Amino acid sequence: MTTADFIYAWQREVDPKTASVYTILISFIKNAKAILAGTLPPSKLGVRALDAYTLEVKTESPTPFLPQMMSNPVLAPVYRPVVEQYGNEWTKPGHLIGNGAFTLQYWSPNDKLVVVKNPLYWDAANVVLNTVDWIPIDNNDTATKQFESGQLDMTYELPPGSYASLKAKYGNEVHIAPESANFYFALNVADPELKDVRVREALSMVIDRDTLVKRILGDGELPSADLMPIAVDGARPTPRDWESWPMDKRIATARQLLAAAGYSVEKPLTIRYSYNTTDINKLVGLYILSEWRNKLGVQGKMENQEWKVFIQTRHDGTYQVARDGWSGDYNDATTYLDLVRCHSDANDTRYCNPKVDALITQGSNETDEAKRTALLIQADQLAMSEYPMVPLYQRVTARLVRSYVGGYTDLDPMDRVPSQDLYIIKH
Amino acid sequence: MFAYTIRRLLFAVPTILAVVTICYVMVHMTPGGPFDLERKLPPAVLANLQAKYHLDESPLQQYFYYLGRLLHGDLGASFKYTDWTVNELVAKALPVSLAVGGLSVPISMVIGIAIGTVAAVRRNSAVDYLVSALGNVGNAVPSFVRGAVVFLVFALLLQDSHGVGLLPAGGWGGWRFRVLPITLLTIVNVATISRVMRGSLLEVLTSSFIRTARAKGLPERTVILRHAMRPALMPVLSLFTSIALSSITAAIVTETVFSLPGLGQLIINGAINRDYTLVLGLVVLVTAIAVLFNLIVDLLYAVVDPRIRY
Repeated sequence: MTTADFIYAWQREVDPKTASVYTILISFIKNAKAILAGTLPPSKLGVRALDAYTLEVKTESPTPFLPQMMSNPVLAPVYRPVVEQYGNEWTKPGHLIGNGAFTLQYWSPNDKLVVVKNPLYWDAANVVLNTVDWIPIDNNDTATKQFESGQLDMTYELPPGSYASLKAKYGNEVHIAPESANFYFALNVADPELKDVRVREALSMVIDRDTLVKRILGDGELPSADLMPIAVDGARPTPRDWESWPMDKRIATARQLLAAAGYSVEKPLTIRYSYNTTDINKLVGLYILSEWRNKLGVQGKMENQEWKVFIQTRHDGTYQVARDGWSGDYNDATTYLDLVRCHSDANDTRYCNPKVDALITQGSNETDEAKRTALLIQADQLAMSEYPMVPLYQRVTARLVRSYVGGYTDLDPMDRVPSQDLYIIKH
Repeated sequence: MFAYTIRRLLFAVPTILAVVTICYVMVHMTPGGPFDLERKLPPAVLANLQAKYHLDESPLQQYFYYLGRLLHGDLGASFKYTDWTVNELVAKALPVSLAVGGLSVPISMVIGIAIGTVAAVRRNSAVDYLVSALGNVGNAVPSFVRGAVVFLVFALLLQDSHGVGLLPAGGWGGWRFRVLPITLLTIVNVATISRVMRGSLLEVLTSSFIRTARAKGLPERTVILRHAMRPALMPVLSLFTSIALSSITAAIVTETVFSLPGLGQLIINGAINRDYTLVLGLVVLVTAIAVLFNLIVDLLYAVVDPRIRY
């Protein structure tokens, strides 16, 4: 493997002809955006081989998370001869050539993917597992049953609401760790009723998030009134002043805000909540609408949609309040600030404040880590003071892992669990 | 009968074409598309993707492009399973569905006809009530509840010393993985078949020709097996196509409960992901199977009922 394999892989990824749907990470490399837009050729990508084993990467702006990002599979090297020989078939078992700890032995969609230890891996001496079976299971209940019947050593997620019962049964085999991911209600700031920031603030202020995570969800989620999760580098969440107030004061203040915005008992605020059909979204929606009705007299309506229809509704801005959430693409605050940046692909709330954008850009261009963090925190604070969303909680990684699976840690907020770190303890 | 078979097979072509056309229109009218993702795609990437899958052409051009490929036996590339063609996906899923649903159908037919017959012959006896009760349970209890019960017994309660269940709770592999899904599908099929068989045989047994057979002094066994069974099988045969289709191509709940990599999973995922080619490909397959089964059933009618001749 040489630097040529990286250059080929990256130029192939940004080539519009490849039509890759996931180009967020490569976009940090110089000229990538222009190449993706078709205005520059792939050969202009800011990457150059200094020799066969040294790569020079130029980025559009200082990118402190670049080294961490390099371990993401979308930036992995690709072996050119197999792509040229097999075309679309290059990823199939027997064709795929990689440089990882395992090689692909079997792959059948919806059935399983089997990888076996790669004896040629540079650190093969420290890889313990000989075979890993990856079983795609859509349904978390089915996966949990397979764990319970002794078929699986690890599951991906717990079924919603099952944490307490599984914890009682399996104890330390239930793992919970903060994840770089949040759950919020997007507020369409272009909506006639929600364009008033006082209304948006009132809606966020009265929600009892502790009750939501402890009584309604109960799967270890962390309450949050900020966009930024705790488990992300480059910024930290800022609590709102009212979070420390007693609920009575919060309700009284929120009522004043609504009254100032022109709403009263005679003229109540009406809210339409759109969500994609899942039990959790419905449950959370019922709770939040009941909070708004009981505390502010807001008339709420729920509207469920099938996933693809819902995604279109949110992108088109034909909603008032919508279920939303974000898992960081990479471990840095800027992936979350993308949600409030003007006209960003990830911004569905229509919120736009040039001052926030300026702070994000200033922070992104800053090479001093402390100054960068301070600027990004300021950007988050300014955006969140205008309430383009109602943050509710931070998601957690919750899964079952057999006690005899060694090497498993809950440390990575991006939830990457490399199989080469795992081993089976004699049992 | 040969000419009839050929005629029917030729007639299958416009049938499949009509179904594909209707489905094509419906699929493209459904809101949301394959590239509507959580994060909006940049316009240049979206344009390239649409060009790759011919979505940038007019609906009519796309339709004829699809038909052209279909005539060559090519169901196209999947939108979601991007490394796979629909032909490859079907080739992997069909054997799984045949191994589960395909095996359940003959087993259900044999058991259903047998117990339906016993229930009719021993009408109003304890056996009859037992068959009716089991039939009602089989029909009334949803698959996911039956699935949970068999899982509890065979995968969770009956475990060896290492905590491994007697039978797997899902997934795909050797015969052990097939027992529970086949059993579940068979229960519901047997419930339906036995009920229809019982009712049909009871009706036949009141016919004049049965009275004549009995009057001739034939033993009851001969009356039932030689004279009553064949006409009584007609309604059961009519059921065959719908049971076979639902067991093989649309055992969606069973496949989800047991996480089987069969056609049902593909149908669900195809619809959720707006995987146009996958959905259309599966529709073509299901229609072809339906046409084939209907033909087989019609030919069997002639075997069972001497009055029918083609």
